[in-house]
Amino acid sequence: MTNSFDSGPDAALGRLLRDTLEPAHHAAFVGRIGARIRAEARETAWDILAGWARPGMAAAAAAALALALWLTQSAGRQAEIVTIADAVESSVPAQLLAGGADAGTEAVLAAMVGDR
Amino acid sequence: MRNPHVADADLARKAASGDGEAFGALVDRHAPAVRRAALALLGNEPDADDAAQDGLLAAWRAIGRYDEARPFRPWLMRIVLNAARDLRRRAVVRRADELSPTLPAGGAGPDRETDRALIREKVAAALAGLPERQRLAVTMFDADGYPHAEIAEALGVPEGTVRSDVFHARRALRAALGSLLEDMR
Repeated sequence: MTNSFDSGPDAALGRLLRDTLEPAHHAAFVGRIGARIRAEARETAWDILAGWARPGMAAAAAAALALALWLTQSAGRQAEIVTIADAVESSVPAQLLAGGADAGTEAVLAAMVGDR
Repeated sequence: MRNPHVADADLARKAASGDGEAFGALVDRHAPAVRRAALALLGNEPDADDAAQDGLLAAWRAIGRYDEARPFRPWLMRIVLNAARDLRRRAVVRRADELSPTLPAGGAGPDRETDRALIREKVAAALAGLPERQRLAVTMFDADGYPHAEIAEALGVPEGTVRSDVFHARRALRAALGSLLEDMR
């Protein structure tokens, strides 16, 4: 029998303690923990997706707003490119009018080329 | 993943990167010791298993904070013992005046089983008479082979205190279980 502070494990005492404190159903216990870990991993994945959803929707809304603004401004610039005054000042309508009802393709082309 | 040669730190690293199988291997490896310690602390198996489960799941959630440079067993044991103490603090521990011996395993005859049950009752009573820290120290040292340094880390006390606790616990258990221990040698 060993009594030293520094001795190694007491085999007989260890066996008695293990037998008395023997955890039952080891495989079932480990299986239960594994199932909880898998369930938590699934919950975590959904939590991450849910966490992304709100900022994602906000970002999508902001992007849609920015796109709408850009399209509106772009359409405004396009409209500015050919104004009514430009159209009136151009010689093309006058030439076309001068050609009368018989104004053909030649008259249109001649007016356009002559305008440059 | 159940390969016993894979080091705890390697499994813990994989677990920290989200590998549940690796953590399962660590649970498979260390569950007997942590369940035993929880039983030594709480005195009944259902509470001990609840505490062990809470502690192991807490360890899974905290695995990213485990420092690989330190041994894994005391880190895990400390978390499980904290879970056991929390359970006891919440006063949900089922009444247990003494450690209840676990159910006998099948296979042996009824007389032999009766003898084993009596032995377990006697050992459980002797253990229950020890202060908590001595109970844990002697269980971890003699039943599970933890070195003094790891027990000290798990219990948060100096190594010299663990040596003293093991010494005094052994002396008390030997006095209470003398004839049983002699029969086993």
